[in-house]
Amino acid sequence: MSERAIELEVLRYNPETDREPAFQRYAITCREEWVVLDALNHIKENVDPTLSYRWSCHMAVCGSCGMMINGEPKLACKAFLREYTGVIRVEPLRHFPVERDLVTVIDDFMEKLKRVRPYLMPKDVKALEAGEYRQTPAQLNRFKQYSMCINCMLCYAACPEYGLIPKYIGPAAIALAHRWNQDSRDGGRAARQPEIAATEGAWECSFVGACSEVCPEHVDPAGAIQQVKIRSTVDWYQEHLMPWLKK
Amino acid sequence: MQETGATETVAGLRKEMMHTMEQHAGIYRSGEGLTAACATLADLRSRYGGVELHDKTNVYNTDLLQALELGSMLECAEAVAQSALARRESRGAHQRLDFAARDDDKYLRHSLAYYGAAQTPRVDYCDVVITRSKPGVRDYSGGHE
Repeated sequence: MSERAIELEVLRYNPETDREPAFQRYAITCREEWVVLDALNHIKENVDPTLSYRWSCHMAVCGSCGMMINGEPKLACKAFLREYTGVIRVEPLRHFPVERDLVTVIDDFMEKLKRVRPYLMPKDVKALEAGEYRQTPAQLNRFKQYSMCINCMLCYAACPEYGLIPKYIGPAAIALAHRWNQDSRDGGRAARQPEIAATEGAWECSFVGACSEVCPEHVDPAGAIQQVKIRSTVDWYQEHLMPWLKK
Repeated sequence: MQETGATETVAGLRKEMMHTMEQHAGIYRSGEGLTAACATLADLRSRYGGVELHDKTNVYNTDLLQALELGSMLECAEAVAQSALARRESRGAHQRLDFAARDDDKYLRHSLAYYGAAQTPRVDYCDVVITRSKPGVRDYSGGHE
């Protein structure tokens, strides 16, 4: 197993002692197969136990270790060191306030996620004894991709609109609302529309597409947002041209 | 936990715990290995008191978080090792190389490890409520009748 010397430049911030964030350099020996998260864990275990960051699964499932790596939103557990040359710059996720070192305040996203009701609101409520809500593979395919979201918030860090207009509900929240709207068992679309079809919903998106580029699970939130735009356009015409058809 | 000048580190103790559990408390176990693991874990638990926190901040202190996690993990590890040592049979993912057969008379029971603060956890048992799946020999070799 080959080893090599690398340098990481990590943004540090301790609200109790620092006026503003500053970079700290760590020179370590890494192994060929390491990802940035391994390097951070190595630093925390052997060099500096005060370095703070979120992580849990180390396998791109939990969505905790999102951070900026050389200016790009990445999961630290998926960013292989061998793909970088020179000093690797590690910063907290862009567009979120910093709580401490690489830990960001994620309240804004959590609140938005809650607003879109990302859960099944059954079309026909059945008694438990009546069994499962069944679905065909074709029905599953209509939303499966959007259900892969791990709430890592990389899309929010990538989205220039969210950076400019913090009220924008953002890619993941819309993709997840769309995921449930597309579900054959669900009847909650009318309840979700006021959030995602609003100005600060899908219409704030200018289709830059950066969200889909950085998504580690290939959810394609940009695609979901454009579909939401089409659906709400159809809604608008129906409402104005055929008002007798209740939504 | 120590204010300053301690010799133990969270990462150091955690590494020793992981190594001990990997070596002796995986699927294949033996009385000898588990006895050694229990001794190591008891030692690690007493050394845990000598861990020093290097991060004294009140904001998102992961040094403290990991130290607390380690304390709980050591307790769980000891409960696992002590229960495995007391279970002198093989069952499912608990394969005792020194007791290869399953023993329903003695061990068709849940192991319960009771927390004993600084003491070794006490291991006791409670009956299993059997519902749909009856216990039987699980043999995938094709040779079993």
